[in-house]
Amino acid sequence: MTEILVASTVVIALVALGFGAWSLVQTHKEVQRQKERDHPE
Amino acid sequence: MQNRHRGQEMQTVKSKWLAYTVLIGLFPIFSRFLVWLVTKEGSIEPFAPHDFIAFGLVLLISNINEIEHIVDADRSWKTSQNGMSACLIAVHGVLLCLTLIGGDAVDRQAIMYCVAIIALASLGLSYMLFTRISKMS
Repeated sequence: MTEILVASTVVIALVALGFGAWSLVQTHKEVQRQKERDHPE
Repeated sequence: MQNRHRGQEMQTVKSKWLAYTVLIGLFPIFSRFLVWLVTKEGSIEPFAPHDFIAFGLVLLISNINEIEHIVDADRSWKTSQNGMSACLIAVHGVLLCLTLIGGDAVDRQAIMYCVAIIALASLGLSYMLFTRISKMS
């Protein structure tokens, strides 16, 4: 029972961190797009 | 000049997050540790699950509050971020219930690991959220 609790907590934590990382990648892409819009070559 | 101003603003957002949210959230953990240092051995534990739960809740509630105050952000991103924070608050609630049961019903060491893991995940999520806010501001 204890193992299930710890394992499910680890999974939830990893999902949350993965979501945060995905959000950061999206931000980076958005910032790059904004830069390209502001300073077109 | 504009880039410099933007960089300063990014730093300000993160400094405020660190000072007002992370440090205040860590207060219960620091306080218990200080009390443990000055009391006789065995009278109090240096770390307790409740303090980590309080830390995680402070971070997640500040996430939701901060998201609500962003005007020019993607609405679907705001919704998903709020949803993730709400889910983690629910997990904190379940862990708090487990700590309140007491006795030998649950393994205290396992609960301690769980709350530490979930508090770290909340810290990571909060850091990533504030990084986005500082970059987009």
